[in-house]
Amino acid sequence: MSAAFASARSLLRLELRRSIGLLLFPMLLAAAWYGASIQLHPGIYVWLDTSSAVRASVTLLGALAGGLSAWMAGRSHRHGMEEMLSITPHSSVARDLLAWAGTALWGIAAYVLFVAAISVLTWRNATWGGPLPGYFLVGLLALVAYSAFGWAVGCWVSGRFTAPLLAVGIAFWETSLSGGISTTKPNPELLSAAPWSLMPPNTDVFQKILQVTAQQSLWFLGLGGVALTVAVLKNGRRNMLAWASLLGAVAMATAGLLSSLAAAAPLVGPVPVRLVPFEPVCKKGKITVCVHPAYAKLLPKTAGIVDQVAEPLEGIPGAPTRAVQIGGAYGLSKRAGDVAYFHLDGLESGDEGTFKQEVVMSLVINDRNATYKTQARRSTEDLRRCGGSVVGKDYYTLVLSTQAVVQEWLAERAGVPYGNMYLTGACPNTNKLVKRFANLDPAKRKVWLRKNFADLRAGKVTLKDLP
Amino acid sequence: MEVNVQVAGVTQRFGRTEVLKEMNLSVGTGVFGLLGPNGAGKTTLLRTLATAINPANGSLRLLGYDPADTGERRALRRRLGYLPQTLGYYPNFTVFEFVEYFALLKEMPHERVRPAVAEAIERVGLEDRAKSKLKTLSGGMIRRVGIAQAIVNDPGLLLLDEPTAGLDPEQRVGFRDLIRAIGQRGTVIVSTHLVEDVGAACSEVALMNGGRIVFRGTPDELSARGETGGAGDSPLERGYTSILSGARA
Repeated sequence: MSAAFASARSLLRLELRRSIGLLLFPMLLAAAWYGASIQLHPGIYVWLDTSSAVRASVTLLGALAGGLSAWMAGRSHRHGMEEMLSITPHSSVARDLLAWAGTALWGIAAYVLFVAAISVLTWRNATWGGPLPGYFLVGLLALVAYSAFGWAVGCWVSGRFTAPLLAVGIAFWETSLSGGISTTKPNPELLSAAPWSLMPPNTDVFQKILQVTAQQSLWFLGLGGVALTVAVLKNGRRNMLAWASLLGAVAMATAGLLSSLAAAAPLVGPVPVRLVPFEPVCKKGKITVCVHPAYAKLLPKTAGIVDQVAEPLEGIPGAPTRAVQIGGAYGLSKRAGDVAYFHLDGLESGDEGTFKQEVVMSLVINDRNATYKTQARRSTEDLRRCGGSVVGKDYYTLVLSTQAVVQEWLAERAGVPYGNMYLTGACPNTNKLVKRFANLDPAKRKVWLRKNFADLRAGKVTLKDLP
Repeated sequence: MEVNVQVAGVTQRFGRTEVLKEMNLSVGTGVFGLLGPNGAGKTTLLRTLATAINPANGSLRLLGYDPADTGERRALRRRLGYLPQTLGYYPNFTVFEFVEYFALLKEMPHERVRPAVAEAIERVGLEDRAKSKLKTLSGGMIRRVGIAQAIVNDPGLLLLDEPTAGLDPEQRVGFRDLIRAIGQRGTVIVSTHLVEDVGAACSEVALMNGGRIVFRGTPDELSARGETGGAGDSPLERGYTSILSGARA
């Protein structure tokens, strides 16, 4: 071990021990957890989610690390140490880099600890997929880049308010302004394509995601390099090496940005969504319930609820015999008429009521793929038939009046009445019809359902056809 | 006598104000006192010798090195000790850590750092507070920490700006012993307002006024200049005021 290395190690030890990062280490951990919490769902561990959460943790952790670095960069100025330091023979660049590292390493330690905890939890509990190491890397590089950025800003503006303002600025940028690449016809994949975006993509396990890990790595490496060389330039080392490093870092960041745009370009416009193939896991009860393997742990609970909700329709011709989980916000699936569909987002976060209502709705309608125009025509005709009035050109509802009656009956049985039924106000007698249908003799109701349920799901039964 | 400090025609300006005016000075081994009223240029001279500011004109040769040359300046700084008038410090560092920090920045051989830090702290009488954070120390103790960081590298040239400010009489006696010991092997330049420090510790003294040296001699010679007039309670003070009155006239 050379003397210079030993000396650098001793300086780093001092900086680590006296860094504000050590004092605020619990806050760094809390920032990581809070930044990630938007993407974490208790109980279900999906590598895509947890890896995204790790990257998203840097939205706040990076902001705090940047603020701490800015604070430490102004340290010698605040404490009147500049002259004393300037007359020491030690390289000022090395001294500053060690002081920065002494702060940045606490942020990195918080990040690594958080990654380790999340990874262990996910490893033990995940039932599908694998970790996305690229996300971990991007998060790490972003953290280092924001820390370096804070240091550079603190070198140039060493006021007392620099650190808090910078931390708030980075957090605001990452959580509010740093969106993905938007287009007039946005493809959800593009939402994660911007090189600076750390927020999780608005997709799920069903859909492929545009991976721009390499581009993001280049961007953050470049940003960190620019920040550190700018700090070096501020502190008087304006030699060729410093200028060349700055140019190199700018080139790296630019390459990250341009290559990211190039990767996103083919997805701009009406491009079909890319689905990830998978083999569902199913449970057979009164109705067969299937979920994505990532959600296998939720299958028993899901099947139990679906069975309970669908129980009155057991053996009814035209009633779904399968209930299948579908993708997140974008409803990604080819749908079959004899299958009920549901999302698990609500149940995953403990909202059983919304989940039941969704299952009920899916049991009573079978044409959710109808175009807006087709469904609006049906809705408008339905409303006129039931004696309601149409204001404007079109009326639109997903569930037609007769379906709404049966839907409400099923929902009340499941303990989750809608209350705000679509047609309560529009069709004057719907409430009475719901009560009448619910109070029917069960045998008569079953006979009616056996005869009419297939047509009811298809939207071909009117209120007059109800018993 | 070996000349450790050679100042030749050095001028120092801040804006339009000339703070040092074509100063010439040679100092050898021993303790050299700098006296003078506020604004005389003592601190500027020490900062110039400490290589904190470059002279506007003139040249320096310190411990045989030319500070204008980058390589020689670095070698010189390894052998410098400097206590500024206002000592900056990191309040969360302990006494040991602060002195160690400067020992490392002065590029001392790694294996010598910790023993040298312990010795420097002992020499200023703070060994029982070595693990105390600086923010918990009194002003006098902080001053002693400043002296410890200045002497930790056993400097060949030690520059002390108002080192005894804030020290109690007992500590000042101890401090004088300390700089006399250092002055046996190297050059110590002490800027002070306190003429009794000069009388007790310095082998030679210079009196500055308006950016020039208006007197140079031994403390006894300074006292002798007070026999013919001057105000003050001691011979040194009378010599001091007598020379200043003459210079101003």
